[in-house]
Amino acid sequence: MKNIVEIKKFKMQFGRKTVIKDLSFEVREGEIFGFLGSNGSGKTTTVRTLLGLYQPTSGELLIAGKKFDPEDTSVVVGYLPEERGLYRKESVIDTMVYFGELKGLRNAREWSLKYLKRVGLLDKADERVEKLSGGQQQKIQLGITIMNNPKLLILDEPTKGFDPVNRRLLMDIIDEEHKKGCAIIMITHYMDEVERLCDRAILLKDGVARAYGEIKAIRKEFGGKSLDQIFIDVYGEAENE
Amino acid sequence: MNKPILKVTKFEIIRQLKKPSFWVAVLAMPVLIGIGLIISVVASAPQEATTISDDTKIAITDEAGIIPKDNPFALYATKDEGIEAVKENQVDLYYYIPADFTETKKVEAYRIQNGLGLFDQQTEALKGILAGYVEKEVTDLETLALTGGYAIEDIKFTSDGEISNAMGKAIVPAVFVIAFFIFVCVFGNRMLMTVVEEKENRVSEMILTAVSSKHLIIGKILALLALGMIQILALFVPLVIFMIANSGNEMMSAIMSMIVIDPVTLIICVALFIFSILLFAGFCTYIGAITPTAKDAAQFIGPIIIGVVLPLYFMQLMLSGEVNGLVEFLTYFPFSAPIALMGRVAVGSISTTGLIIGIVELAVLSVVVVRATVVSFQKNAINFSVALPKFLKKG
Repeated sequence: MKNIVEIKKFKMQFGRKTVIKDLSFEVREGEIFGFLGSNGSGKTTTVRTLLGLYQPTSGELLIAGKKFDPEDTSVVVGYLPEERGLYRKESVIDTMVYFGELKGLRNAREWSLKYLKRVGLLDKADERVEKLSGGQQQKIQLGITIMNNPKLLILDEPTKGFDPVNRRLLMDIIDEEHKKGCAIIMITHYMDEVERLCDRAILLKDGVARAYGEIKAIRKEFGGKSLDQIFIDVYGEAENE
Repeated sequence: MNKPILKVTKFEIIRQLKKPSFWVAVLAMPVLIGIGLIISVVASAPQEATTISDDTKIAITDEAGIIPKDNPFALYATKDEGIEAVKENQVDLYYYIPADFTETKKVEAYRIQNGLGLFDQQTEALKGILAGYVEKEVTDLETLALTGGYAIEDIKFTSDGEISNAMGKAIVPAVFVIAFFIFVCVFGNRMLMTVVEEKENRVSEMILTAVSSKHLIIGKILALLALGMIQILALFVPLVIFMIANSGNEMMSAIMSMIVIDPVTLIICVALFIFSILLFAGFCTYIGAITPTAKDAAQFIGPIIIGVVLPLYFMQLMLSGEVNGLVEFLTYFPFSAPIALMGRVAVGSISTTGLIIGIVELAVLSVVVVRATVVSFQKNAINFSVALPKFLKKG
C-alpha cells in the first residue's frame, strides 16, 4: 500500500525549546492512523508543520510525495484543527459554501444543505453561526472538513466535547469517509476509539516516537497491555523519573 | 485572475454589503466630510486676508486719477506695461484703475499665481490704499474710493506668463484627495479587522488549509478596494448627476467650464491613488496580521490615520504652494505621503523628479508592506495569544 503521508527526520524547535527531536513515520493510503501522546507532546505541532502552517527546523514532511499546497486540488486534505472556529457573524450556509468553493467543490450549496439535513441542522442553515451551540458548530466544522472527498483527513480530537449521541453520529461519518478510501489521521486521547478504529498508531513522548506500528504489534510489544495502560506506562515513566 | 483570490474577494464583498453598518457609513460619510471640509475651510481662512507685506512690490496704472504723484508705488502709463512687468517678475502686484472707474466700479489686479490662493485676498488691500488718498466724499470718484464699493478682478499668470486656472486644474487632484480621505476614514478600521478576525474567530487554521495566505490577504485587500470604490461612487455619482442636471444654471456652467481634465494629471492622480490605497491597506492589514485580537489591533488605527491625514492639518501651507522642510517631510514620509503628494499635484508645487520619486516610493512600499503582511499572517496565523512584538505590547 502506498504512503499518503511521509515524515522523515522531522525536528522542530521554538526558540531554545525542542518540541520534536527526531520523528519519522508514514501513514498509508486508506488507513486510520492514531496519533497519540499527552498534551504538549508535539502532535499538533507535527500536523501544523505537515500542513505548512509551521516551517520545520529540519526534516521532510510530505503529503502524496510533495509539500502540502492548500490550492493543489490533486490531493484534497480535510483538516479539523484542535483550535476550532467559524465566521461567527456569517450564516451557516454562507460559511459552508465559502469553504466549499475554496476547496473546489462545484455544487457547494447542494452538498452543504444535504449535509445539514444529515446532521439535523437544516433549519439552522440561515442562522448566524454564533447562534449555534458549541456541538452544532463542531458538526459544521466537520462538514467543512469532509467536503470535496478528501484523500486525507486529519482530525485533531474530533469528538472532544460531544455528547454520546453526537459522538456516534460523528464516528459514523468518519467511518463513511474511511470506506470511500480516505486515509484518516486521528489525534485523540480516547484510547478505546483508537483500539476500535485505527489500523496503526504512533505514540509520541518528549518529541520522539515511543511506539509505532500496527495496534496489535504495539500491544504485543508492551506485553499485551491495552493502549490505555500502555499510555499510562509510557507517561508514568516520566512521573517516576 | 487567480480563482481562490476571486472567491475570497467575492465572499468578503458580499458579507460587507449585507451589513447595515457598511451602508450607514456609505451614506453618512459624504455628509460628515462636507461638514468637516466647511469647518476646515472656515478655520483655515486667514484673519488678516487683506494685508500686504512691506516687501511686496506694487505697481499701479491710475487712469481715474485718484493717486497723487508722490506715492511709494511704481506707476505705469499703460496697462500693457504693467502686465508685462508682472510677467517678468519686476513687480509682485499690479493694479489697473480704468478711466471709467466710477461707471464700471471695477479694478483689475494682476500677479503671478502662487499656490492655489484659496484664501488669498491680498488684492483687496487696494481698497485701504485708495481710501488713504481721499480726504472727503466730494466727487463720485472720491466717494467710490472711500467706501470701497467696487470690485477687484483678480487675474493671475503662471510662471510662463499664461493666464492661470489653478483652481480649475486643482479640481481633479482634489477629487482624488477627497476619495482617498473617505477611504481612510471608512475602511481603516475595517482593514485591520478583516485580517485579525480569522485569528480571533480561530478560523485561520482551517482557512489556510483551503487557500494560501498570499491569496487570502490579496483577496481581502481587493475586496476592500472594491468596497472603497462603492463608497466613493456613492459620493461622486450623485454629485455629478446634480451638476449635469443643473448645467443650464449660470453658476454651475461656470464651475463646469473651469474644470480642467488634463490626461497627464489624471494618470498621475490615478497612479498615486492606487498606490496610496495599496500602501494604506498594506499598513492596516499588516497590523491585523501581527496582532492576535481585534482589541490589540484597534489601538493602532488612530495613530495610522493621524499620520495619513497629517497634511490636512497643514492645509493652508500645502495650498500656498510654499515648499519648505515640513512640506518635503510630509511629501515623503510614508504615512503622510499619499495626501501630501496628491495635494502638491493639485497646487502644482512639486517637480517632475519629486513626483516620480514619490510615486516610486509609494509603489515599492506598498508591494513590500503587502508582502510583509502575507508573511506575517502565515507566521502568526495560529498564534492566538502571543504575536505582538515586545516593544508593541502595553506595559
